[in-house]
Order: sequence, then C-alpha cells, then structure tokens
Amino acid sequence: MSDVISLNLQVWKQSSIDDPGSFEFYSVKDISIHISFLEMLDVVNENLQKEGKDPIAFDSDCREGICGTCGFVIDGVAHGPLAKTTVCQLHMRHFEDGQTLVIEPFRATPFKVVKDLVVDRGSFDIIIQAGGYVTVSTGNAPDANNILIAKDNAEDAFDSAACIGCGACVASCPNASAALFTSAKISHLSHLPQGKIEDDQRVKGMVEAMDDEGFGNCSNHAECEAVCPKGISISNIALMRRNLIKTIL
Amino acid sequence: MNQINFLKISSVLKKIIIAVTGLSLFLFLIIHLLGNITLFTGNPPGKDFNQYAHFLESFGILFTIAEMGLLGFFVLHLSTALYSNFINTSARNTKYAVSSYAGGKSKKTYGSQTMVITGVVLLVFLIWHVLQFRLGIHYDTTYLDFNDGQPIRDLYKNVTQEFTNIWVVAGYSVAMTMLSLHLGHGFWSSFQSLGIHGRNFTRITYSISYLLGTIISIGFLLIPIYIYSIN
Repeated sequence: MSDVISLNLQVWKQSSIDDPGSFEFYSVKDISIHISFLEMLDVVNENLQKEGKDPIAFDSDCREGICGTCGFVIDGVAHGPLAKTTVCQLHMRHFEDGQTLVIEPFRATPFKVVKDLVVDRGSFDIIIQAGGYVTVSTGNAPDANNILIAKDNAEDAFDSAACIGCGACVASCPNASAALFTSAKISHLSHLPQGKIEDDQRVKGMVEAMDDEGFGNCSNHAECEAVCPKGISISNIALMRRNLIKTIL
Repeated sequence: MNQINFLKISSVLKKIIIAVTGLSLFLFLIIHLLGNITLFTGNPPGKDFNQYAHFLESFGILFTIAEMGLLGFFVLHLSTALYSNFINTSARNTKYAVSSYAGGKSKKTYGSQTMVITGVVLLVFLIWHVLQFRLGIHYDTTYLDFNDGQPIRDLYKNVTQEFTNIWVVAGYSVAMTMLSLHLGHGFWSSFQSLGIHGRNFTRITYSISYLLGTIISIGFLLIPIYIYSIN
C-alpha cells in the first residue's frame, strides 16, 4: 500500500463576510496518509502560496483535539467521517486515493463566515455570558475538597465539561440548534454543588440568549451527538429541559 | 412590544408544548384504534360499531367538550410546530451543498427530517376524514334490542360506502404511511423533549418508536382494506 494519496478538493472560498462565496476546485497530489487533515491543507496552502495564489483560510490552534478552534464540514459531516474526532486529529489514512471531498464552513445564521472556512462563533460567548459560570467571591483559592462531591456527580460533570465549544453540534443540526452546546455547559455546572444553587437563573438566561442569537429549535435528531468530537450526550439536552421545567413549576 | 414578548416562547417551551400535545394525540389514536375494533365484530355487521358510536354521542355536552379539546390539541401541536419550523429555517440561511448522515449515535432519519411534511399531509387527511364520517351524511338504522328500537345513526353505512372506493383506500394508505413516519420520530422524541432521558429508557423508546408507528398505522389501515375486501 502506497503511503501517498491524491485528492480532489472542492473548497468553499469566500473573501469576506459580505462576499457571496463559491466553491473552488483543487487537485492535490502526493499527500502522505500519515498527516492530519489540517496538515494536508497546510501542504495545499504552501503550494498555493508558491504559485502566488490565495491560500485556503481555516481556524486551528492546539491541533491536539482539545481546544475547539478547528472545524469544518467534510462531505456533509462536521469534523469529517471519523466519530469523536476533530479535523486536526483526523488523519489522511481514513481517505481513499482519488477521492473527491466537498469542504464547507460550519453553516448557521448566527455563525457568520469570516473567510473561507473560518466562522465567527462569538454567539457561543454570548450564551456563556448569560449564565455559564459560577458566581463566587474573589479572594484566596478555597481549600481543596472543602466541598465534598460524589464520584458519580463529578464524573457526570466532567463528561459535560468535556465540551470544547467547537460548534460542530450547531453545524450538523438540521435546524442549526445550539441545544447540545448550551445544555452541556448547563449540565456541567448543574452536577456540582457550586453551580447547582444558580440552576434557575442559569437555564433561563442561557436558553434565552441561545434563542436571541438566532439558533434553531432542537428537534431531537441527535446528529449533534454523533458528530461531537467529545461525544457529548443528548442526555444533557434532557437535563436542560428538566431544569427549565423546574423554573416554571 | 407586548405582542413580541407574547410570541417569544423559549425554544425549550415550544418543544414541551409539542411533546405534551403530541403524546395526548398519540393516546387518542390508541383509543380510536381500540374503539374501531368494533368494526370487525357484531351481527349484523356494523351493529357493534353503531352502538359504540351512539354510546360516545350519548355523553352529549361532555362529548362535545372532548371533541373541542382534541381540536385544541391539534391546533396547538400544529401551530407550535410550524412556528418552530419557521425559526429553524431562518437559523440556516445558506444551505449546505452536501448533506449527509453521521451515523453512530445519530437518530436523524428520513422520518425525523420530514415531520412538517408528514404533519401537514396528516392535517389534510384529517379534514377529509372528519368530513367523510363525523360530518358525513346522516343515515338512520334501528336495532330492536337497542335504544328501545328507536333509530340511531348508521355510521357503518358511511364506512362501507367510502371504503368500497379503491381511491379512498389508496388515499388512506398514503396517509397511514405518513402517520407511521410521524409517530416513528414523534414517540421517543416526545419523552426527550420533556426531559425524560435514561440510558436504557431512551434506547428502548427509540427502538420501539418506529415499530409502534408502523403497528398503529397497519392497525388503522386494516379497516379500509377489510371493508373493501368483504364488499
């Protein structure tokens, strides 16, 4: 088996927020199967720059799958075909020689395309600002294990806290709903005694902010859970709904 | 400003409304299907069915209240769903060139993506269905051993008249296919919308959802097919 493959890429190119954008075709050769998808784009960009052409703009930071900066849609699936993987950890060995790939930015009205595959996910920050925190008095750090937390609760909280806020859930949702992201942040804090006391105002504020930002309604397609690089469960969405019902009752 | 606030129902609350009304309508379907078993029994044919219909109508004002309540649930279910769909459509102005299924934990199916379409087809069917039977031509019949021999409505005659037409049977087949798809996503999804989620609970409700939808649809569809075949 050869260690290099050739690919046909159809990549979304958009020069600015106001540009309508269109697909551009790239034929790439001699791509090592040992490099990641982003490294493959680096190779493509290097060649483009040598030719004096505009490189493909995309976001990335840690390239270890833990920062949530990278992400786009490959052939209709956010973060590509491999489950629980960000595009920076997706390696070229998962693709076949001669394959044609359509690469699009995360699409949702609140996520404006800044350039090519780069989207502005500032709406997530606004949702967090509406209650995704614990109000504590500043001062010295409290003693460790001052507040005892059952192991199960700590595990559940950590499962939800694993959300890296990449936005793949919104991108994959047929309704462009941000329910998985918002609910992961709500559950994370709701499972801990420090966060529990502010459950009511948190769920009200964050759901309102999510709606105000223009995200869609969750219709339980669970496509978000399937594409989530951290495998965040839709059980978080159920918890968000329970918490909201509690505020009404 | 007040009107805007009134229309601004949270996305979560909308799903709760759709789930509660949806589950209630699901319950109604079960009762409706069980009641319709009387179509297969009775001597002469239709006696049990006509007596069952007469029994329901004999509740008078209570029956009317139940009917109005049912109508209200339909209206609430439909209007909230259409309003949600309007927001969902505007939440993605630019569509994807390629859309696919991620597989794995995904529960995105043909049925889940066509809830609005199947729902609207079912609405059209429902109007037709009510016009055919509930508001259909009023025939009378008498049974010597029932209602002191006084005439009662012969709804069975409407049923046999309608279901001897192959096009009516075909129309019902289409509608029931839509119902199976709609219930297939709707059943398990209602619990999730109400925040009822458990590792096993969700796995079970999801796996029986499409099965339940199909069983109920076939159950209803047996009626026109049976009536057509015996006439």
